[in-house]
Amino acid sequence: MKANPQSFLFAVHVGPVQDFIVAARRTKDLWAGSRMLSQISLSVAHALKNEGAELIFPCLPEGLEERHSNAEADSNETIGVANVIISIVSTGQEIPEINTWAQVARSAADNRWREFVAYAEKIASVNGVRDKIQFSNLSIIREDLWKQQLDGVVELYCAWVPLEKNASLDWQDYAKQRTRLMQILNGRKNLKDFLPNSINVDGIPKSSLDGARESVLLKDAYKILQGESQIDNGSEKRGTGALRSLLKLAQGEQLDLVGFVKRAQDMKFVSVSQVAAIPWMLVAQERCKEEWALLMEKGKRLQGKGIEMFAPIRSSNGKIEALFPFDAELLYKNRHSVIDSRYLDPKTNSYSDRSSEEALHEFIPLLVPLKHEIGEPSPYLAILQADGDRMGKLLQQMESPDEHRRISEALAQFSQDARKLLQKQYGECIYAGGDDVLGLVPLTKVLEVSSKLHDLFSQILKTPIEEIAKKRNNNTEIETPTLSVGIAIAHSLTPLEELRQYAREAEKKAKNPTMPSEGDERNGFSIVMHPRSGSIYGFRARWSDSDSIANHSEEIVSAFDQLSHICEWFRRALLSRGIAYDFQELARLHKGWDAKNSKDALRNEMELILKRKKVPIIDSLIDEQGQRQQKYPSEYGILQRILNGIHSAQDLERFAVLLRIAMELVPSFERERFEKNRKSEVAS
Amino acid sequence: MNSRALFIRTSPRDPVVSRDGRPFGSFPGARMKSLQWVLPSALAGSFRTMLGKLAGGFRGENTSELIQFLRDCSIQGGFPVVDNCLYLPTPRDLLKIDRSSDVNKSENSIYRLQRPIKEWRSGEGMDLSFAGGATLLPVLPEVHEGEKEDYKSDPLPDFMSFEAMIQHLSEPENVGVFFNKINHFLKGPQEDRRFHVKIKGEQGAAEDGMLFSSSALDFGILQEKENGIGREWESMQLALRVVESEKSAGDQVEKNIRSLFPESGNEVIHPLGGERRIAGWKEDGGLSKHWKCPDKIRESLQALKNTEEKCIRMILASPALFDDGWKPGWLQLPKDKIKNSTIYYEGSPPGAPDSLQLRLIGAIMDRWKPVSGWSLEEGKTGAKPVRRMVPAGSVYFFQVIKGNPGDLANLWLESVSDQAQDQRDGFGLSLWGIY
Repeated sequence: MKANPQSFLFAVHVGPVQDFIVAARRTKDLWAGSRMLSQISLSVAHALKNEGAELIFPCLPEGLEERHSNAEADSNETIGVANVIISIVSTGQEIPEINTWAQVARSAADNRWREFVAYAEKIASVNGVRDKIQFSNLSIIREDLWKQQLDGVVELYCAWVPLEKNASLDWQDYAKQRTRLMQILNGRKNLKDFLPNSINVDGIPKSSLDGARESVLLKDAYKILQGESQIDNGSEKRGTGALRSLLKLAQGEQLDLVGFVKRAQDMKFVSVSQVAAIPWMLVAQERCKEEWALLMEKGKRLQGKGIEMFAPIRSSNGKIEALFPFDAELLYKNRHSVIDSRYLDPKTNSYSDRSSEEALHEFIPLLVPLKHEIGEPSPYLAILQADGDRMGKLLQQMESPDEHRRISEALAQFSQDARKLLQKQYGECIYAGGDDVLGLVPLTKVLEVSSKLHDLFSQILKTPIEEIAKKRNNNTEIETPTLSVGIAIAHSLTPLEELRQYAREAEKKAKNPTMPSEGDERNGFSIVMHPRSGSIYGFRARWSDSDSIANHSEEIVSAFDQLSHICEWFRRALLSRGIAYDFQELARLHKGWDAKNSKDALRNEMELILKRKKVPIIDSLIDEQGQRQQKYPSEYGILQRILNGIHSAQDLERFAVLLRIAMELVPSFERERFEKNRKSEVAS
Repeated sequence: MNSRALFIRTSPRDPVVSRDGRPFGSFPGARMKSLQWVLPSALAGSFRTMLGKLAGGFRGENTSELIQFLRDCSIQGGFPVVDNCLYLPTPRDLLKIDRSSDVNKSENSIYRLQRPIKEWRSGEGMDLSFAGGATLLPVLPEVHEGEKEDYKSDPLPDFMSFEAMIQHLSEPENVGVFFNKINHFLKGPQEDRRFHVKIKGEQGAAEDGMLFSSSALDFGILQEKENGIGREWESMQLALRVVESEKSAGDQVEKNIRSLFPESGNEVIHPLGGERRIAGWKEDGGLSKHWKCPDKIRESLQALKNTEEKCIRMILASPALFDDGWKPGWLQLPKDKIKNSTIYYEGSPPGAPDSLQLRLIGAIMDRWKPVSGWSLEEGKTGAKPVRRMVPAGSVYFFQVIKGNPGDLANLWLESVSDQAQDQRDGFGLSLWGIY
């Protein structure tokens, strides 16, 4: 009997985000987990498309072929795929039941996951060899637990609604049906069904990533990786350095299957300390050309000798690799003892590897003249998380699959461009897919990256939205969505799961103001500083700032512009660092006063502080006509406009926070250059 | 009420260490992470150890009998009590839409009930991974006329008051109005984080790189008083019920809980959770009222007898362990299923008369949570295997297909977990009501 053809709007949600992304101790875990989830989603999208589904979201650019054969990271990988896939599917003779489509999605996801596992298994097993690199000559995994944990890792939820064509062969009620589809998908996600653990083994430690599954590592895995000889079937064997550097297993660390598979992926991602050191590297490279060249030459020579601690870093961003191709930990004085401890034999307190000791002693003295000139690198970096505002509302307004697809295309474009934008500014993009971006950015570049990202988002979405509105011919207005950007600044030794959490909180803060002075919700940006010691501080404002920090004044300087100007003034040594704390103290003193009556007093005291601190920005000169002129008139004008916007202790407190944030964004080595220049300018 | 039951109020003196399964040892940078609440098994283990010590300890000849006696005792609860008000985990079928940042708001939040849809519209559906062919309907928020249809819930506080739960389970139609009036919610304990260093014995100085961090649950909470007046510190306590085994403890262990435990009013000091953090344990008969199904709910359940659609809800007040993972083992597919017909999971919960048959219509639950632990039992010392729990606050929606719905009132705060030991360890305590 011939089945009656019918069409459906079909949605798939791929998870779990918890196991793939949240459970992370190292940057590698986070990067690999995001990438695996994105790749699994991509495989589902491809499988549906290959079976004849019309993809609506995501949009897969032409030429993007699915990589079935290996799980190796592709440095040219420019697409991140969000974990929700929407398509139009049909049932008929070939696929008689809608459930079969769910099976297609499920088996594609499962196959992709098993490919990742097979790849990890190959390198973790006895004589694991890949690309001629011997990874191990002794298995480090427990096979029973490995097999037990293989099933049920990928969680897939599917939902569907019927879709019919009208007389003019357009899809009928698309917007209504899409809303219903998302409702049902939410209902499906509300029921997170699962099976119990099939094997219960006593005495096995749990994964250090989230403690949710047993470790698949053998008891002696760490020792094997450290190269201590083990007796296997009567013969002595040793682990290899290649597997140790691939897995980056810490002492006492345990990994479950998902954790192991993440670690076993070939890393093209740098550590957080590498990103944190970039501003220092850039200044060193520019200002101390000879010393820098010597340092690089020495490093490359040691790298050529195959010394492990000088192994080339691998980044998806060629610019980072080119700038300093060695582990940035070498640059941090307080990390030297930790590097030492990796190579020191605790029993004899001597280096197990003489060449590493020599290498370290040849390389580190070359840092001395550089540090003498520009000081120590800052260990702080920015973690940026951005998300489109009111995307749900936008998608609700899409009246046809074609309209929706236009938005999908724009989002695919955004994710590619966002990745490039981050890379251009020496950032490392962890994930860019749909309207989400997560990345690590050097402190000195983060303002520029976030503002450009915000503009890019609206810019890319504006054209299709205008075209859609125009095509409809019924004067419908569709609002172009905006992007909220959260930035967390934290120390590079902060555990990664906390860094991710900080970024998430910053993004939430960017979207939702917590007090009236922070402006309306959405279209916001926030910067939150997490000092290694001391309390957290930060602020939130809107990008377009009619309602921002100074909503009493006509001449508003937006919070973002204020921050950019202040950074610039710090860089040029036009402002001194101390005013942040003086203003903070002043705000504390004025707290609780009647703002109306104390406004003038507050302003006078601010001026007094600026004078007392002798900040160059308020310097004046006597010109040829004997008139007093501002030395930096335009900067002075902007400062006055900013101060005009401060009406209360609360405003001032916010401004003081902004000054403190700016201090963090301009490390001392950037400032000193100008201070020196200024001093020499004054002397001459 | 069982005469062999004892009600205990536990007052943590120190922040309670309720560790997750991640290993924690003396390695550089090791971090101890805390769960957000105390696991039923941790509470049961601490209480049983305390009883064992009160009975003379675990070194005597009759240790195995004593251990069996303790294991047969049910220790259930661990619900927060603040200012003499008992709280229960906020059920997942309550939906909150935060409107605090909306300038045009008339109220700070909107509350809605989520329940299974009445029936599928033609052609629509969802896949079910582990339902074995049974039908389940999606649980969606109620939508009032003229409102948008895709509500997503904002995070709800961890606990809601006992009073609010009565309202939630007996008058679902008034949920929106009720929750808007007064704040009935309670946040879980704050994280107390500490940093530790390893000290070199001979020098008394910190050793390089040997930095550790630990976190625990701080049961002291800052109460924001109503009307903006006053902020004060309250302590959060834990309420639990202990039911003595009906089996004899054996001739050599001629003890029972009541004789072991001091008279009402006297406190026993004993550690709760890890790292020997101290808590006070005191009998408090006043807590017993919470273990009895409130009349309002009992009446609403009984009133279903005369209705056509007997729709009931089961809320998990503590995480549950089921043989089938997400689904209670007592729910099974009918043996004589007819091909191509719609089939449902059906069954009778533990403790209910066989004449009562429930049909599972839908469920709402978060992702499974792991539970393992560390066995201190001789011969078995070491890490316990991971098991997967259905989180507390999960809701199962049923229709009564046979029997008297009023019988469910007797299962109030009884365990619906499948294994007897899991029931005695306090997993799967259930609350019942209508929807």
